[in-house]
Amino acid sequence: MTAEIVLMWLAVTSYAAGAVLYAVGFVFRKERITAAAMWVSLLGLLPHVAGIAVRWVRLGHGPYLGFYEVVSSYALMTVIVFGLVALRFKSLRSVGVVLMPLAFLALGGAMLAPKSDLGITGTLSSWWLAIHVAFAKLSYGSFIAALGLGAVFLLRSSAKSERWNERLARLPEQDKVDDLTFKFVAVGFIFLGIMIAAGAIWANEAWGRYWSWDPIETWSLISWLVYAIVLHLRLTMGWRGRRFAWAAIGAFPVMAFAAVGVVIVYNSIHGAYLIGY
Amino acid sequence: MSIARARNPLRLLASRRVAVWLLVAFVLYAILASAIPQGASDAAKVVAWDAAHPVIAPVIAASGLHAAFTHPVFIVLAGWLALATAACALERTSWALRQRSRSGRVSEAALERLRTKRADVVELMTSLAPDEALSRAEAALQSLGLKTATDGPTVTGRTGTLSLLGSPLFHWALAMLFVVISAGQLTRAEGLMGIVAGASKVDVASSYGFLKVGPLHGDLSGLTLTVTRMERDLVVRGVSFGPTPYVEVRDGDRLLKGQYVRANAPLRAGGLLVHMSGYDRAAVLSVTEAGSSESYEVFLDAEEGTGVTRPVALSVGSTGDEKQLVVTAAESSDPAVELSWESAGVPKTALLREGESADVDGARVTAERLTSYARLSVVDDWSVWPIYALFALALLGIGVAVLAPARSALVLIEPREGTLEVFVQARHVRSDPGWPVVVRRSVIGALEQEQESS
Repeated sequence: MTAEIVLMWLAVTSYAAGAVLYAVGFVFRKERITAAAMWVSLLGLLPHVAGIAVRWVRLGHGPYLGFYEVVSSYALMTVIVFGLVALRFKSLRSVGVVLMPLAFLALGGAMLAPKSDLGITGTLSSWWLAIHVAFAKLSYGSFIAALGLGAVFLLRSSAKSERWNERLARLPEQDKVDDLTFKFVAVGFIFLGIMIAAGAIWANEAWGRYWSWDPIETWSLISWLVYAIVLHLRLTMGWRGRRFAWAAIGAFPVMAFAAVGVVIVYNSIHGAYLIGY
Repeated sequence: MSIARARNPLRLLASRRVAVWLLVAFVLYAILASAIPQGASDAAKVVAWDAAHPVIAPVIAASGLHAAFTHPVFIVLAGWLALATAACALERTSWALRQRSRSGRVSEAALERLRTKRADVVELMTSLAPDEALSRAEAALQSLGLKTATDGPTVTGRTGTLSLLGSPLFHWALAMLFVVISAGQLTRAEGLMGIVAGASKVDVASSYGFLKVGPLHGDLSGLTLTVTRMERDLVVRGVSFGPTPYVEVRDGDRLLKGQYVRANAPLRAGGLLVHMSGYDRAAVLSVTEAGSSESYEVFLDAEEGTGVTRPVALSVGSTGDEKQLVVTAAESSDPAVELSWESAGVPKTALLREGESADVDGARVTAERLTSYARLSVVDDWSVWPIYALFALALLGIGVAVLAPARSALVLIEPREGTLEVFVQARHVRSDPGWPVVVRRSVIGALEQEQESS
């Protein structure tokens, strides 16, 4: 087993422990366990980043070729965004109840996939690739955070029993969660726009066409428009609270399909980046 | 939707509800289109899909959905969305200009509303002198990045002009994007041109194997493209790009530009964007008959996947006495081509290496050169850079609208029973609940701090 794989399994273990501790802390209302869950989860970032760095140095490219690299980096972004939120807003640490199982499942799934050493080909040899991929991950991280916050909002707003309300009392006020959900959707929308623009510029440099309605191009536009609808509903139709939380959650599967599903369902030029050559 | 609203086209276009439904319709249409292979009816993927879906294929073919993104329904939808975006941009610009032209003067009605203690208004009693309190409140608003103005007992603060322009900029840029993309498509020319290594072709319609010209495109450039050589495997910074042509573009005798053309390094010259689209083997044949000689370029493309060279049918010889030849790449250790033809109903073949000839029913066919060719994608499209610029402006606009939104605050300080009553009101363009809290905290903090120090 290589150092990279050992590091990645350490990260998986850490995320799994974080997810379990979060569940325990949430169910038994133990603040200390929730705090420990956050630190155990964030500790997993160290081996995760190190594992990706080791591979990056060895192969000479970032984590964007093949299912293993791509999904692992999605998991990394999820935990980084979660860490930023949790460290900035102490009361939002509980969002880990939703996000850490997602990160664990993503990285665990990636570890079970083939880990072929895919090299950079001529088309991929471009700075636009780095910009395209970086903003893709930033946007997905933002939308995942919005998903988690939306779920937290709904969880608390639908909590009927006193016991549940007590468990959720440590979370910030609902309007704060609602506003943060909006902010993550908005920032994700901007990042996704930059990702699409960088992809179009790159396609023009590589093939001479900035847009060719390839399925993944079409679906990235679809997911951008879906989040545009969500923002419109918020800013012009006044959707707030539960309705906005549902909208933020409802948009997420579209984005997830654009990121992961399209290359599996369609025969796309982007297939190489996720399912290998 | 009411009839009154339908009668007012601008209001209908600017309707927020209609905008959302348009976006939904656009999304649903794009999802449907993505599920159907796009391309000409004889394209391999379209034919294969039609064969696999015999029940719905005739419906899809009849409705023209294999060309969904040039379909009239799509064009109408995109046009409507563009107009709606422009109408929204107009409305938002008008709002931004109104906000910008507002002076710091607060109407008596607004002050009265403020005094009635609505939910977002707080009261604070302070023993400061009125001028001092007002000055402190103004400093507090300035510390929040607001531009302030005082008018009697009030101080108003608001964010700069830029914060007002985010949303209009976003919508105008998107509306313009629709226009520029459409204009670009109408005036765009793109085609595939095969050029044998060491040969040239002029940018005219007859030089292309495939050419798509927009209805408003003028004449092709007439520039000369030359593939001076093919590098077997170009390696740049350790990355292999495979066979790569060195291409020169000339205007008459004047060299405009020359470079290796590879992925991510297209050649830009004279308004043309030249990409390497592919390469394969090529043969230059000469046919000599009755004292006259003619040259033919044959591109020997391999089938995708199998690598087997596709045979090329060629009609050679003088008019009225054409010979039908089939040329294929020969299985040989040396570069060679195989010619096939029928002579008086009898199939015949000949294997030619470079420089060798064969007699084809009285015509002498010589393999002058057995080499390679580059299939160049040549695009003439002025709209690409404006599209990038407009998209960048759109993202800048939405960035400003989200990250630096328009905010304002109003502080009213009035004497009351020997002390001062302070009303604080904060407005945020998207009703951020944190903004009133920040404003109140800042103003109250400034006034209380002053009280303590005084």
